[in-house]
Amino acid sequence: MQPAMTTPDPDRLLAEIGELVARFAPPGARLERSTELTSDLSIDSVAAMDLVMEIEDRYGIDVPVNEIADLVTLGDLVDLVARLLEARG
Amino acid sequence: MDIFDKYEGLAARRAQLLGAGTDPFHLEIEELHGPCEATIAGRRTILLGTNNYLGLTFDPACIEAGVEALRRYGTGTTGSRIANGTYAGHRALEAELAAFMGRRAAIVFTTGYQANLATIGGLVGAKDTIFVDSDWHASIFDGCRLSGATVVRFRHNDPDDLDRRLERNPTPGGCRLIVVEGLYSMLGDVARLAEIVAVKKRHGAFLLLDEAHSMGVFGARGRGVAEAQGVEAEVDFVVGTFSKSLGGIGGFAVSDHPRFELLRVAARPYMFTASSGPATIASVRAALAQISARPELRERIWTNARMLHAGLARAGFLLAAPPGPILSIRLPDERTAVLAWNRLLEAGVYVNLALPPGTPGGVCLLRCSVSAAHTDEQIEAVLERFAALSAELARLAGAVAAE
Repeated sequence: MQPAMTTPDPDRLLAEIGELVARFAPPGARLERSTELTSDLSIDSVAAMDLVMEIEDRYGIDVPVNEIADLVTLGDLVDLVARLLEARG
Repeated sequence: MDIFDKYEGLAARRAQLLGAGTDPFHLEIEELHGPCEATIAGRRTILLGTNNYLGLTFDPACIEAGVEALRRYGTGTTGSRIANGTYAGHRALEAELAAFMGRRAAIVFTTGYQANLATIGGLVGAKDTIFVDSDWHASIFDGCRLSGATVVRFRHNDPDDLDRRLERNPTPGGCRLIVVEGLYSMLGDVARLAEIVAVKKRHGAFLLLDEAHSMGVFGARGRGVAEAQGVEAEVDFVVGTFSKSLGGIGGFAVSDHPRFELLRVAARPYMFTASSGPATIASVRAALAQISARPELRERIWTNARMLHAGLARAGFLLAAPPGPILSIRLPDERTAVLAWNRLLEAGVYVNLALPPGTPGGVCLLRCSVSAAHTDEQIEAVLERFAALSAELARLAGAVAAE
C-alpha cells in the first residue's frame, strides 16, 4: 500500500489505526479513543512495538521507540501518528 | 498499594510455569562433568543450551591460566578501570583482542551486557538517531535507552526497510548509528551484512555489529560474521562477549576509529563498575589464544551443528534457521513448549526454553546451542531423546485434534 500523502482527518485516522490495532487485540474488543492499549487490549510492550511497525509502514513514518512507552490509550496513539504526519508535511 | 502490585501479570505467568514442572529460568546445576554434561536434579544431563560454542570452559590451558592469576593477583580488583582496577592483564587482553580482531583498539568490559550498554550509550547522544534491527537483544535495547538518542527500529534483517528509514530520518545536526547482530541469538539466523553495509555507505551512517554469538565460530580466523562475509572494513564498531566462545564472563568492543578510546572517559557502564577479576582476564586470554591455535574447534562445531540439524529435521521438528551454532525448534504454543522442555529435562537433555516477550514475533522455542566439545555419542543420545519427544508430541496433538 502507498503511504498516505496528506494528513487524514482525526476520525478517519482513528478508524484506520483501529483496524491495525484490532489485529493485535482480542476479537471483538471495543476500540475507542479512551481504550487503554495495555489494560483493555492486553497489548504488551513488545506487541506494541510490532503494532507500531505496521502503522509506520501504513503511513511511511517512523515512530521513535522512546515515544511508544508513553502511549496509554488508543487516542494517544492516534494523536502521536497525527503529529508525526503533520511534522512530515 | 504494594510495591510489587505492578507485577501481577508476571507473577501469574510465573506461577503457571512453576506448576508445569521445573522452573526453566532458575534451573539449578548441581555438578559439572566437563563442558557438555552436568548433574541436574540428581540426573546425569547432556547440556545443549549453554552457548559454550567451543567448549573451552574446561580447557586445561584456560583453567591453569586462571588459577595462576588467582594466586598471583588475588580474587578481585576491588575497583573500576578508571580507579585501581586496570591491571597489566586487562591491558594485555585489550591488545590481544585488537590484534585478533584486526583493529586499532579494544576496550574490555566487565559483562557482555555492559559492553552494549557502554558502547551504544557512549557513542550516541540526544541529537543522534539509532537504527536498530527489530530482533534486538535486551542489552542493545537498554543501551539505546541509556543513550537518550532517537531510536528507530527496522524490520528484522531487512536492508530495504533500513534504507527507507534512513531516507526518512536525515538527522540534521546529529549522527546516525545502525546496530545489528551477526548471529541472532533466538532464531539463530545470520545478518545480511553485505547488503546492510551497502545501505550504510549510501547514507553515510556508522555501523555497530554485535558478534556475541558469532565470534569464534564464523570467519576463517574466527572473528565473526563480518569476516565470513568479507565486510569488516565497513563495520565501524564490533561488540563481543567473553561468556560464549571464550568461556568466561565479560565483554569487549573494538574499532579503528582514531577517537574510539574516548569511550573510556565517556561511557558510564565502563567507568562506574568494578573491573573483571584477574582469573577471568587470564582465562579469556588463554581462550583467545586457543581460538587462533586450534581452527579444528571451528570445524568441529560446524560438523556437530550439521549433524544435529539434520537429525532434528528427520525427527520432524521445525527448525527456525539453517545449520549453525544456534538451532531453534519452533513449537506451536507455550503449553507445548513448556511440556517439551520438561520432558527433555526428565530424559536428561537440557535446552533453553524461549518464550515471548523474549522471542521475536511471539514464537515459542526450544533453543539448542551446539558445542565443539559435544561428542558423537552425546549427539546421538540427544537425537534419540528428541525422537521420543517428537512421537509423544504427535500423540498429544492427535489426542487434542480428536477431542
